[in-house]
Amino acid sequence: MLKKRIIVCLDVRDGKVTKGIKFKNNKIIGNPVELAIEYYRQGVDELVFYDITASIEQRNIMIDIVREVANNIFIPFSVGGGIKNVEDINRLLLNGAEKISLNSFAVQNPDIIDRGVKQFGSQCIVLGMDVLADIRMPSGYRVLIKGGQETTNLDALSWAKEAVDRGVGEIVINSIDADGTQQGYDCVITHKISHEVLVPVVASGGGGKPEHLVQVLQKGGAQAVLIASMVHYGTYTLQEIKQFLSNNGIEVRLDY
Amino acid sequence: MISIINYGAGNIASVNNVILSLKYPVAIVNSYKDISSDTTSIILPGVGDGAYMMKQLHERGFVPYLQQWIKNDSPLLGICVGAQVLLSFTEEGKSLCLDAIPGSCKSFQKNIDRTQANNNQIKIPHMGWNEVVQQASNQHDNSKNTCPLFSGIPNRTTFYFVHSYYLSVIDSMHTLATTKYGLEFSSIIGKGKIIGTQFHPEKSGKWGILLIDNFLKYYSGEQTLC
Repeated sequence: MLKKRIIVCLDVRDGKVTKGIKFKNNKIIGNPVELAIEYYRQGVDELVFYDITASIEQRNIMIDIVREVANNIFIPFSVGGGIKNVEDINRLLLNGAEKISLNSFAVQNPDIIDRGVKQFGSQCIVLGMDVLADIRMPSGYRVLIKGGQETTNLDALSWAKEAVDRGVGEIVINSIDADGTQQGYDCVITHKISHEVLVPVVASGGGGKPEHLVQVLQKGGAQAVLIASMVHYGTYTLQEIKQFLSNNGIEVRLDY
Repeated sequence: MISIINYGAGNIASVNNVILSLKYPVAIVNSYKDISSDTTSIILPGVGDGAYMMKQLHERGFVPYLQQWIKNDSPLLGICVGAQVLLSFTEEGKSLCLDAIPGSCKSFQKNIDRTQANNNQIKIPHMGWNEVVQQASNQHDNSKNTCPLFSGIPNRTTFYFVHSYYLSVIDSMHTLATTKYGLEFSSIIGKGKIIGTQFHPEKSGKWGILLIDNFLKYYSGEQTLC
């Protein structure tokens, strides 16, 4: 049967991989291409690169990184961060990215999803969403944008369902409350959304120990998990994580 | 020369990168006129919609060339939607295809028994790493009992899939490998030197690279295959 996927997330600012907690206090971890190659060798199932660079001039660095990564690793990787039009998507895919992730811009201009899906296919278009627990919302969770800095009136579950109706092939749910804390994923919102949509759901934000991955892949109903702090700080290796999951009855890819 | 057909969609960079890393001479061809006369193998990668791919192949003049190539049983590797268009028909967009291998491309959504798939856990598309079960060789000659496509690749090795429609062949001899996802489907199809993989070998790490190498190495010669 289909294995659960372990995906390493690399936030890239000005050409370097960084890591923050709840989107603040970014620390430099290293060179994105070197890290990608290292995680590939360690058996990661997929990679995601988020371009968190503030300025537009620095965006071209991302295309160079994508090309270099595609030259060196032969597993799927996605790219997200500041994607605003079909030309951006096309450039990234042509340079070797498997999927692109739409987040803030899609909330304000949802038809970018439809256009992206029409031109490139659902399998290339991922919805990234940042969510915050909020009891005023029907699902109990509110969507935030711009790296968690701006609030919206969108309910997390309805936005997820709308994006799927428009054709996204996958949803990554990032919990702002949990992000970088290493205290565990938000299994509640992950399960709520996974239960309601037909597309694969990826849990993101809060992974600190392998037990957290077990929880969100089982109770949380996720098909895949994003990890960052756990591996960027060298706390765990991918092999240790995968072995733990396998020992706990979760089917993962071990033949790398 | 290995020629990679570019019909204007999808990620041909990765296939190109794999073949370059294997040190074969390779060219990306954007038009049927650009296919060089010393082409020994054709790679047909595809993503997205099967009907759209067929439409683009027609518009760019690739179809007559491919049909002749197929008639000659020359080496051809279709990947993902490129494998789907090797069949007779695809339900995705309802299009006739190249008819290299009799069969049709079917929808997971219509054919997976959803009463068994509880709580939306059989997601569509089928996305991720899944086991590819090699079928016993169909060779009558018992001295060779492994398909050279799988040379050095353990049975049940995982490869990367991403698709909402799956391959279904009429003659079971044309199924070289199967995979289970809600139902069992052909993950590799083949007839003579024409092979189709539903998964992306160029995104499947070292085993995917080896499979591509096996195709390029063993399918250019004169020997009969599985």
